[in-house]
Order: sequence, then C-alpha cells, then structure tokens
Amino acid sequence: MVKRAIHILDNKNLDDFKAGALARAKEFDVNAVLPIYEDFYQSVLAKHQESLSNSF
Amino acid sequence: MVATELGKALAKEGHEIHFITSSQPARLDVFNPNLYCHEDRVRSYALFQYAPYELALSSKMVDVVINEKLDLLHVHYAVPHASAAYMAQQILKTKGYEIPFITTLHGTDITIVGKDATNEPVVTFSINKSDGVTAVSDDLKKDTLEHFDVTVPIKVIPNFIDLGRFKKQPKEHFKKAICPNGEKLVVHTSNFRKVKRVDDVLKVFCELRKVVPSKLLLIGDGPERKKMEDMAREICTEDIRFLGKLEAVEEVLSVSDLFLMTSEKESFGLAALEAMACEVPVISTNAGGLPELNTEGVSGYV
Repeated sequence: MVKRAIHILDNKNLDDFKAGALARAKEFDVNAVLPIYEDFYQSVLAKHQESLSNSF
Repeated sequence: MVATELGKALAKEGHEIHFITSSQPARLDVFNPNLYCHEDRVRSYALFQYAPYELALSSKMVDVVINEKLDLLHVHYAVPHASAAYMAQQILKTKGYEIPFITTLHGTDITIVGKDATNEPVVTFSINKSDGVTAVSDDLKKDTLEHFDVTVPIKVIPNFIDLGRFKKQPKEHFKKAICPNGEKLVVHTSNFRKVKRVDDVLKVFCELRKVVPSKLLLIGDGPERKKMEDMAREICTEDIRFLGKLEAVEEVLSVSDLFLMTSEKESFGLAALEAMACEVPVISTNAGGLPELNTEGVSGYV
C-alpha cells in the first residue's frame, strides 16, 4: 500500500489518478442508478399484479 | 443513508415517498412536497425485557400502507425490516390489501447479523418471501447465495452518489492551513469499528510520510477511536489529526490527495465513492465490493 501511495502522490501521476477517480465516480451518479431502481419497481409491481390475476 | 438519498432522488422525480423509520433520517433535511416521514414509536413494557421493535414496525407499515395508499414497500436490510415487511404484508392481506415488498441487502445484514446462526432462519425466510431482492454489489450477492438457501433472484444495483453535493470545491485556504509547506493530504473516513482496520491506515501513513511529506486527517468516530488516538501519539502524532464526525465531509475531501480504505469487510465502499467524486484517488483493500468500485491503476489501487 505504501509503494502504491507513493506512486499516486508523485506529481507526475496525481492529476491522472484524480481524473480517473472522478470518471469512475460518474458511473455511479444518482441519475444513472435511479432509472435502474425505477425499472425494478415497475417489474416487481407488474409481476405481483400478474400473480394476483392468476390466482383468481 | 443510501435509503434516504434514494427516497429524496425518487421524490425529486415525482414519486410520493413515505419513510417509515425509528427516527427522522439525518440526511432527510430538505423540503419536498412528495416526501413524508412516519416514525414508528417503540414502547417499553414491563412484561418484555426488550422493546418489541419489529412489532411496532410491522404495525406502522400496515397503518401507512392503508392510510397513504402505498403501491410498494421497499425495505433496507433483511433483518429486521424485511421480516417486519412480510408480517405487515400478511396482515394487510387479511384486510384486503395486496402490496409487494422489495428488500435491499446492504452488507451487515448478511455478513454479520445474518451469518449468526441465531438469525439465519429469519434472514433466509425474509429474503425468500420478498417480491424483489437487490444487493449493492456482486460480491454481496455471491456472499448471500453462498451462505443462505436463497431461492429467489437477486438483482445487483450499486450504491450511488449525488455529484451535485460530492464534488471538488474551491477550499484551497483550508489546504494551506493544514499543509502550510505543500504537504500531500491523506484522508480516511469511517465509523472506527474494528472491521475498518484504522490501525493499518496509521501504519501505512507512518511509512508514507518518511518518503512523501504529508498529513493525515481521520474523519468519523466509533469504538476504536480512542485506541487509534493512543497509537497515533506513539508513532507520529504531529502529522495526524482526528476530526471526529463531520457533516460536510466533502469540504475536506475537496482538498485531499489520497483516500485510504483498509477495511477487512466492505460490501460496497460508499466512503471511497464519496472521495472519488471529489477527485480523490483511493487505495483500498480488495475486500467485498471494493474491487467493483475502485479500478486498479485508474481511480487508484486495490
């Protein structure tokens, strides 16, 4: 871990790692993840409705 | 925390969100006409040694579902919330209400509470009775399937971040105050539980400062803090500061150069994601879901 830390903190590398960290974080932006939850809610509601219809 | 942020984000999209909690969530600090909070008050009775929390929670769920006409329950943590939701669902059925519930597994409900043989039957049952199950990382899903007889599919939906809040802010004056001679700033945030291995953060930092002039800030509080403060005093106290709990953690992250996460268990690693959003590279262990978040050689090292 120490060697890795020294490598990242080297001024030659630090800006690249900072940019890499932000780019990776953007993949977890709430605006990207929220639609996945909304789709999942819809699919669970639809499946539940279907199972209720089948039980009658 | 994640549940609160999810609720707030859904409310912003126009969904009506009702929080059912034992106390007002700390991050539920905004007004939105689509947000409601219902506190389930647990009463103590001389008859019981412990207050019956699940009973109060199930009853509150029944009450809110009926009176607020909810379409769906989304519970966070398998125990006690999923088991309480199942109980509520069954009670509601007898009253003519049909409502599905989704359970999100976050980690400690599986890795610590769930694996306790005392709780395992309830955890397994609650997961299998859920109408939908999500986990915050592939690793947590794998762990759940390995340790419990789960017969329903688990969908992985990662934790997320509000980039409007967690972003690099111009706080250079703060950096100058902490690192007056241009030192690098290393940071760690956690709840100081043993599983976070904060002692490893201190050990790594003490070796690092021999080569790179640097300072270490530790944010958070918990059972191991006193021990860690004693350890810091013994090794290299002048470059280490314990800040305690901090509401605006993003302000410190904004001026940091490196985030250390030495956890031996971490289902996702939200603190690392918060650092990355503020443009701070991360060095982490490869525990749990951390390799799914921290990209080797890009956002830091695992």
